[in-house]
Amino acid sequence: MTSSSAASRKALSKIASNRLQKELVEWQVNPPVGFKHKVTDNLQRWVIEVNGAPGTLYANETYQLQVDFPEHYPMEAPQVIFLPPAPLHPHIYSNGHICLDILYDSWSPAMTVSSVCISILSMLSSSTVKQRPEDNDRYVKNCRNGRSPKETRWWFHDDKV
Amino acid sequence: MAEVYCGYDFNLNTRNFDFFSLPIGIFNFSVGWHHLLEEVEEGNVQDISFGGYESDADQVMRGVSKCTIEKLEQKSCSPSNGDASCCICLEELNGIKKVVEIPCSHLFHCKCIIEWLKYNNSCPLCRCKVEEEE
Repeated sequence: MTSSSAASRKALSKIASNRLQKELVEWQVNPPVGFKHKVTDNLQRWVIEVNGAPGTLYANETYQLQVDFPEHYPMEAPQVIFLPPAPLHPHIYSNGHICLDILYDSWSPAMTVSSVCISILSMLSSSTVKQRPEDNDRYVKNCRNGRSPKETRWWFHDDKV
Repeated sequence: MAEVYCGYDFNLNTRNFDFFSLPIGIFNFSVGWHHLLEEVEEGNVQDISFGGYESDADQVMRGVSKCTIEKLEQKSCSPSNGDASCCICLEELNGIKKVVEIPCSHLFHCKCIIEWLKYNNSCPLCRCKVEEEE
């Protein structure tokens, strides 16, 4: 297992697997605008291409999201990170970790991969400046050894960007 | 649903946290963790809540009491409820005998919502509290 995340170590439960199959079918019929799921035979890890929305700082740029599902998805949030190079954004660290509450303590099982993708694109689109978080270097240094962003205690205070 | 961002601290985060599956190195940066782990192992910490927030008691991940779960209204779901599906498993609710309505009127499969409420006190759809906190 090359994954750095604890999230993907245990196989999906039957409930998780059924739910993901449904999400995959729905995605194929009705993918969120600006996203492309790169098809693999691994249901537990999705790699999704994101296109920056036209008219935003990220227009004409393409990034990749890696989504790893835990054994008990959707009771627990998926782990979502950007694969390198991560977009320059005040809430996205250079190791690809994303500071967005719905990926952590505000997760709800009513959310789907598709709705999470839309939230991330919305976060990108509303950015007015292309820069790393102020504490990027310190955070990334603390994350060496491949800790998962789900093991970070995030706090969330800024709804402007 | 407002989304908010940023700031972090390190945390023992998930309810199924498996200390022993983590790379050993990640314990190195925080002495506090060692202390916490020792106490957990010795059984000194009661009611420890992973995913909790020191600064905000409301954020502590806490399930609903068994008593409240038992009192939830069970009903059967008929086609008159529309083509409703359970937002947790995405399967249909119609024709299902064991459907639960929580106080905010949202419907779920009995099994699905009980599993969520074991560790959370909120509606997956509207975040209304299921159990009033004392």
